[in-house]
Amino acid sequence: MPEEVTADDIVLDILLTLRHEHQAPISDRLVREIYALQKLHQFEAERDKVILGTKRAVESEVDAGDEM
Amino acid sequence: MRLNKITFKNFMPYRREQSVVFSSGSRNVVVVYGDNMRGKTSFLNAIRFAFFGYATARHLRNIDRINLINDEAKAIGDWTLSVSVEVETASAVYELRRELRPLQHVAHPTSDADLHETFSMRKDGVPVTGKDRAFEMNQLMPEGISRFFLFDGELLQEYEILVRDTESAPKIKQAIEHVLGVPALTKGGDEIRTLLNQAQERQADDLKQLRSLTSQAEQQRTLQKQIHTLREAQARQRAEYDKLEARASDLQQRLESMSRAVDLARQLHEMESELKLINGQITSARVRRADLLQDAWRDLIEPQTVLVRRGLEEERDEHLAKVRSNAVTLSQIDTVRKSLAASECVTCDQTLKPSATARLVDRLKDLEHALAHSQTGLDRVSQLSNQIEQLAKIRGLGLADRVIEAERQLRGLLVSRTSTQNKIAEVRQALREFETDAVERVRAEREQVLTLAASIEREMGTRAADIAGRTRKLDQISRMLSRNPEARGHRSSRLVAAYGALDRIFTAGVDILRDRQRQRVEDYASSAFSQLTSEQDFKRLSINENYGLTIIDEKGREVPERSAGAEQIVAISLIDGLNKAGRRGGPIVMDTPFGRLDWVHRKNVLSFLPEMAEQVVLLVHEGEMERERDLPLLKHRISKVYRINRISSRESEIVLEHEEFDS
Repeated sequence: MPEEVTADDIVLDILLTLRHEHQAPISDRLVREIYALQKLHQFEAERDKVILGTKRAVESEVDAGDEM
Repeated sequence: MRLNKITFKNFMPYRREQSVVFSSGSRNVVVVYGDNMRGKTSFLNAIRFAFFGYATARHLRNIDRINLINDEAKAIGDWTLSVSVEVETASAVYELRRELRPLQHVAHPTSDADLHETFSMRKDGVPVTGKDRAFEMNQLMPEGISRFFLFDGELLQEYEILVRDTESAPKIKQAIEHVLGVPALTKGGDEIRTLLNQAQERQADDLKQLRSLTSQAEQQRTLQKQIHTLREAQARQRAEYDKLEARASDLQQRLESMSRAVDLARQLHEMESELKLINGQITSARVRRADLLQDAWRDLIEPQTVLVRRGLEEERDEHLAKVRSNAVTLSQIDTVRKSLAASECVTCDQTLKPSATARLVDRLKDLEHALAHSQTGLDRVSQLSNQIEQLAKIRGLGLADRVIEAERQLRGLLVSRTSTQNKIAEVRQALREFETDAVERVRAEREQVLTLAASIEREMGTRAADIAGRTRKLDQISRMLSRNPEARGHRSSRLVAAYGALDRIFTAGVDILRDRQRQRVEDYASSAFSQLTSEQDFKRLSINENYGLTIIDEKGREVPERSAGAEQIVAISLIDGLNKAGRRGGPIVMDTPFGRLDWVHRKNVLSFLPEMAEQVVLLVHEGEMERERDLPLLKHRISKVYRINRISSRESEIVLEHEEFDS
């Protein structure tokens, strides 16, 4: 495995692949956005901000009707 | 992130305020030498305390804060402690400072409850507070991953045991998964699940008004209530379980400190034998010195005898010159007398005139006078020659160097004896603190606590399975409702669909991520292992579910038994694997990392370490890393060498020995 592949790259690759495999009714952009927030949260930081951010991101996509 | 400097006061054995400066770049290694019990682990704990507010003993048990304050300071009523660390990232310089002091009106704290802790952070000189501080701390050094970068070599050796141990394995696995980024998915999944539940509740409210879906909406509502009740009960049980686990952990710590009594007794026995040996050596050294001194007086007085002899030789030479001069005078007197008796000059045969006769008479008087006043003689010359000869017999035997060496050895032995006597006194004092009959009581209580905890854990497992079953059912209903054309007109159903999709992706992603990261750790660790091991038959490492590593030989077989040294090599390989697979760089501080490594492995590790991290701090004792032999291997990578000196049994100091170590 090349040195420059980071843990972030791997997680995102997994999530996006799963999204396509599951034909999930959400966009790649939303998956990336939610992961960016949850990555921040993994060390117990900014929990409320992360939950609120996740909620807003999902609602925003649902309301916009993107890829649904 | 890199460490710039640490300053501490009254922290464990470090009483007076003292600092250690770190380094990075091409010279990224700092070595701190210290004998056992002098404060190497305390140094590591000072860093840990500055970042996270706790210090750990063996098996990752926390040390009571009151015990972090230096004993000598406490003895004179100073109950304050401070540690500050300066760290630097690509964008800013941070100062973290943590202090302990007694609560107001508490003169002599007796427990942690009597102490007040303050923690401050400055970023580029500006104070950072509240949530911002928590955020910055997690960017700098997340606590979950610190275990593998601020580590104790002794713990490394026990790594495999910890992975197998039912109590420790989950904690170790959790820490490793922190490094690998798994919590982003597990915690993310939990949060998404919470939001999904909220959306499902809203969906149930919305859909119960639709006549065709009333029954499903009602069922959905009932399941939500049941799950909610079960989760509340589970949370209560979890709190109870955590309490029991903390109690078991405390009791385990006490048991370990008690088992230390056995170690101490063994140490005492060894030191008493050593003292006996030293006493014997002192006696022999004294006898040897006395033997040498019997003849060494010659060496001591030889310089004096040489001086005296030279004086006597000069005196003898003067006397000899006078004897020769007197002989000439006597010859002249004889000539004058003969001339006067014959009234003619014995040289030219001419008759003496009266005036010449008078002059000769005067001349005779002068010569006789000179001869009479010349105090010398051959006897004196002979006497002096005898003395010179006697003194010449006193020659040194060249024993001075041997006497000095014997004296030096004796002094060294006396110092060793004092040091050993002090250590014996310390160990005896430590032994007095153990009560042997208390061990059984603590063990029995721990067993009770563990039994109760296991029972609660089983109940929690049953309840979790119940929750999972009901949740699956709820999800099925929600999905079915979301697909219903009537239901899809409602926003809540679209939200349920979106959250449900995210939930499935994050949940499925956890296992895939674990597998991939495990494979990467295995690859990186195997690569490190092949550079570190000296055993040609060992080809790679294989990783298991708990991140335990097994050595695989050239025929693809597992190596079942491995030495303590191999254990350490495997653990260091794991650290490198974790660093490369999941971490964003930073320091590695290693306490006693070479304890059980032979010379070849030590050499391999020393060559490997500087490349392992941005900064490497090695806390070592002379026994595991010899200056003359081992330091030159790192000479172009070492920026500083420090030494921990003993001031007393309860106080140490760190001094800088070398900078830019090159030889």
